[in-house]
Amino acid sequence: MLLEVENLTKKFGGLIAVDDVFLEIRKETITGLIGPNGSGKTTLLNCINGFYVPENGTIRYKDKLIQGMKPHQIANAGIGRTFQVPRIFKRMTIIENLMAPVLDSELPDSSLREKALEYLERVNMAELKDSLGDELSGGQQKLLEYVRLLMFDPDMVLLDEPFSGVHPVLKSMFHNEILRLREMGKTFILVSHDLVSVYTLSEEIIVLDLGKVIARGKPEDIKYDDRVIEAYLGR
Amino acid sequence: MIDYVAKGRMLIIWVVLVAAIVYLGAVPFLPVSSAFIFYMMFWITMASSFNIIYGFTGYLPFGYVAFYGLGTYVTAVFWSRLGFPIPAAILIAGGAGVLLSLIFAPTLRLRGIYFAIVNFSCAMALRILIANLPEKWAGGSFGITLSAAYKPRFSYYCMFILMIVTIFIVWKLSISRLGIALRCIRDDYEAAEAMGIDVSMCRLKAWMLAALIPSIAGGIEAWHTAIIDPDTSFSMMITTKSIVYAMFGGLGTITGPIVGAVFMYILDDLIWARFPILNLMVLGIFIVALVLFFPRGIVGSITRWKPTLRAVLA
Repeated sequence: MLLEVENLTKKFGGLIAVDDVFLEIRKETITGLIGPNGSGKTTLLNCINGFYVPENGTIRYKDKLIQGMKPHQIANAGIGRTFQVPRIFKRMTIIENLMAPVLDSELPDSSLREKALEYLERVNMAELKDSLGDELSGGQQKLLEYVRLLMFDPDMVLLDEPFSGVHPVLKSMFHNEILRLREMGKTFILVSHDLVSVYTLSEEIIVLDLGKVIARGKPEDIKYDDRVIEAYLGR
Repeated sequence: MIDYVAKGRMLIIWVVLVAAIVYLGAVPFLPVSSAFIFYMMFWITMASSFNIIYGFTGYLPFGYVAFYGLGTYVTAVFWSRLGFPIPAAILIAGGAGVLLSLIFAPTLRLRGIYFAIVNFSCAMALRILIANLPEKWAGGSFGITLSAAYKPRFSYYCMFILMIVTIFIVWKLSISRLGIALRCIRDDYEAAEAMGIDVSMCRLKAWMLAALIPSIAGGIEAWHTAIIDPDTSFSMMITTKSIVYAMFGGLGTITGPIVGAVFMYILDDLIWARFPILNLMVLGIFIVALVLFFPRGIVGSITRWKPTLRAVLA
């Protein structure tokens, strides 16, 4: 297993946001994490990448305990993430944004910039390299966050709502890129309200409701699971 | 063609830079007020070093005066009470500033207005502490005179060197990986952490650097004026002017604090001369207008209007 989460609990005062969650993520897979609003999906991602320290439970990545480690240590261990709303560095140029995840690299700046330019060319943004982050459109910011992830090159990627507010053409590109990267050995946890995308891309889906795992299984099973339908639509 | 334009711009910058350095180096021998130029260089230094912690890293230290004030006192005490030569006392002041930054370092866990308020409180506490030290050490409310060490030409050149070194540090920082990390922290520290940036370590480095420079500047200024006391050494105007000058020029840029300090210092001086009673009010009106019309500062506004100048000015 690449990632193992056992008995994970995260509380905010009296609210139990993640309640005794158990996860096992195999290498080179795409795992969908779905659930209604407030079900604890993003909180779970925040626990995995170290933004939140859970009250209980363990998180193992490559057989090493990572809960309690600082977010940058977890990132450097190989877990990258994106955010619901793209969190690019808005007062920095696009090239500087792409340098951010490789500041510890032993490669010289010139090579890193070349690599960044190559990635930008792939998404037709090379001419914007000297623009500031806040000069980009919403879609371009999503693309920049994605390219930044490519520069970071983590083994495991936590994708938080990558398809929200995204044009269908861009969405299709993201689908292809996720599948391509999975083929290259990357592992994904995909949080999304876009159920069609999650069903299409994921090998396994985990459903959260009120912080608890209420179902897990293959997409074709989850689609027709009564507990999932009830969680989304109510009785 | 584009290359020629860029090279032409860089050439202009270099010519201006060399001319400015030659002029500033010759000031003590020219029929101009070297005190006026000394303080202009002092404010360029203060605004530029303030830029490291606020412009680059996003932490607003309202108590920034603490480092300057400590620098003035450490220099004065080590020279007058312990018999150290002035240059050594100034260097010790720099070390004391860095030490103080480490003592204040836990406050960096706070952000925004909370950090600003706590930092301001720390500076006020330091002021009270120094003002209440035994008179034979810190001079009490009368302060300490350094008239026997008064050598305005030497102190002028010390400030000249400090200013150049400060600008060089800011320039190196802006093109370094640490500089990129600091600006990531400024824009979104959680996203920076998620990218593997050690936020605590990077901001501590910036904080120590931003403390070192005003502490040394305080020591040199104490030597230049030859007298210090708690009220002037810990005056909030030191923090306020550092903020205003850096903001007016353009935070997070290399040239911004320089442009801001030169322009605002001259403006401040003109207002003092024409409105000796209402000077602070008139200056305040100017500042409000400037923030309203140039929220990114002069350099920030220019580079936004003409992004191709970013490589040269920012």
